[in-house]
Amino acid sequence: MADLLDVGFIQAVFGDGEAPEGASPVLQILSVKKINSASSASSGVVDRYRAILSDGEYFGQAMLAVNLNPLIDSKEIDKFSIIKLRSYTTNAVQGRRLLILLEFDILESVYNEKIGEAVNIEHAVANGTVSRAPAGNANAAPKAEPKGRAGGAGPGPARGGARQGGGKDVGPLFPIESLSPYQNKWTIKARVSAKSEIKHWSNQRGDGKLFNVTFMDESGEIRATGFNEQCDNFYDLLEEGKVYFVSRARINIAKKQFNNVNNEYEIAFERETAIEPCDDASVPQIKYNFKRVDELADLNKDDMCDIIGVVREVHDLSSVTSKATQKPFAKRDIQIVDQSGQAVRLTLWGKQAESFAHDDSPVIAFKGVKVGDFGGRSLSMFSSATMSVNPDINEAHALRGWYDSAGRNTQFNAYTSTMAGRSDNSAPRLNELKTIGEAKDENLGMRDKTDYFTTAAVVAFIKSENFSYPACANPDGCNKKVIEDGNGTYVCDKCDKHWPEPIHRYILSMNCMDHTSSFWITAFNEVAEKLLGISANDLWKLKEGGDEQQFQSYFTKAAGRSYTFEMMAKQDSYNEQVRVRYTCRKAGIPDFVAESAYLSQQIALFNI
Amino acid sequence: MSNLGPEPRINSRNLSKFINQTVRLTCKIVQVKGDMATVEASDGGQVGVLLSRDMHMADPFVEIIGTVKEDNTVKALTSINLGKTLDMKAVDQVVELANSSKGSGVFT
Repeated sequence: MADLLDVGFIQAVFGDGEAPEGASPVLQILSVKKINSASSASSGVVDRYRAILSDGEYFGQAMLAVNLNPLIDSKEIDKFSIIKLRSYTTNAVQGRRLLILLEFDILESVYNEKIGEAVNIEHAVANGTVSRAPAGNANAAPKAEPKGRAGGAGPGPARGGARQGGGKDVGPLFPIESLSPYQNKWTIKARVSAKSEIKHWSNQRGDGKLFNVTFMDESGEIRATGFNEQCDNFYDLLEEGKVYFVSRARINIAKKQFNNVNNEYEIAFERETAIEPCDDASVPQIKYNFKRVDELADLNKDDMCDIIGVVREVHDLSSVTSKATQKPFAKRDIQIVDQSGQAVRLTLWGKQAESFAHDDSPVIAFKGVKVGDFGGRSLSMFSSATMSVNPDINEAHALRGWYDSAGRNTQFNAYTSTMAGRSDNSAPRLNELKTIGEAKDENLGMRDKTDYFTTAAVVAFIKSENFSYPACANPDGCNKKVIEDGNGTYVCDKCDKHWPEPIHRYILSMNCMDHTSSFWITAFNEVAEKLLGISANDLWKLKEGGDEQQFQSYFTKAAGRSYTFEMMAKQDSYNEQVRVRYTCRKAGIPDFVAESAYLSQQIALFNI
Repeated sequence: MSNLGPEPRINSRNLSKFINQTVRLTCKIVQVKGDMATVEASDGGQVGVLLSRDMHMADPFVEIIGTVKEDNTVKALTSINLGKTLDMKAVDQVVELANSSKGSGVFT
């Protein structure tokens, strides 16, 4: 009479862990028992019923989904009832499998005998008479995952991350780009492009340790963090440059404070996370988007970029004490050059600084370095930046060839503070422009720190007395004021050198005004030269030469022009009086087209 | 009829409002054939201009001061050279504003 039941079902589900497709097996309930709330699967308040289910050959443990409880209460389902199982799922709890009944048809509500001689499947499995999938390990979540689809198709075994080769048992492969917190059944196949050291922390809330890795595949990259236990589990397993399958980890919004990897989300390893090495070399190597050294001027401060170049100079290791944590850490500057003829300083920190021992002008590719504006432009290795020495990529070979032949002997331009940031043709954003009246009203420069603002104004008057000072002629850019020392030479205190001729540099005092107000500003050499159209030295010679008219003409010609001034306002005490000093860092030709468009926009907003 | 201020600036659209009046037309020269020129006004519309004998337009962008005829052409009196580049969009915005209610009192 066992042919009434679907023999083989219990073995299939409990043994191999694979349910047959499209099965709606007919099974017999051998017994039904109510479980007290204390058990693992219950939600605490509701009754749960446990049943023994038999297919005539084996019997196994099953739980009834809560919505089926009424059937038991009404005695429609009882000992020996025969059911046709429509929808179910399996679960692994503490190494044992459970069948969860979600939906079934009652074939025979009342039946008065046990069909077949079912044996406990658990014993059969333990005896090795039935093959069994490796038991769900600690990775299995204790909660059932109701994936029962109506229509009876088997939902497959619990996705407990059982380590079966090839990631068969885990969710489908996702590209990193598509990961989001709304999905929890995913797997990625990715290469570790960066792994950090284990970092320890302790704060009021406690202490712990963590490490980070950055995963990348063809679609993108994402950062992952393992805390405490996962730190131990995975730190040794993950190696830079190798490919892994990762699944069953949590996706969170990226904390941009710590994570500068290009993804809105980040991964947090959990207890259920499964990471498996994969031999697939099809995952691409680290992808770079190199900028040339001279293109750095186009980037803003705090931008990230990739750069490749030859190490020209390695400075000594130095130590900096962090103001925040009072901890000293190592730093080292190196100078990078490339075919653009530009050199830039790059700062290494911590271990990278200490262990940097490449004296042979290697080609290094950097990914994720932060752009700073120290001394014009500088680069800094952010915590997630990576560097790869003499990488096997085309740009590296090109650089090597260029440097060995020509580059080694070229004079490079270094970024200096005068090459600050943006090039002339990128005007400041118009809504950042302040009028002079606003600058004064807002007391810019009157607090202790320096204020920066931009204003569009007209040069009203330029003082022609004391327009310059004699400066040190040192070609390295000393620019300190030199003093005439009686012998007809000029001596510089800083460089300790004598010069027959100083180079005059501007220290121009001008009055600028706009429709709100006016103020006196100081312009130094670069700006003043631009405004007057003649170098300070030449102008000085003109004055000394006695041609007063020509000399004055320069000043009058320069007045009346409008510029966009980038200003710096700072407090200065001058003979015991505290005043705000306005210095012009840059003067640009106003972008009339943009300003007209902006003005019409403003006018359109007027509702007259 | 002489008004005290400058002549109203127009584009091809408000031509018809100023028939027989003296206006200023800021425009780009498209074609010159003898004493007739075709110009493009700040709103993109084309206008025919009858040039006077001594007019010499050196630059592609000019401002023509003239009277508007019944047939919507302009009989030019004189012109001002405005250079090789000109932001016509800004010009058009000025023209529209000047001729609108918002601009009354500003330009007239």
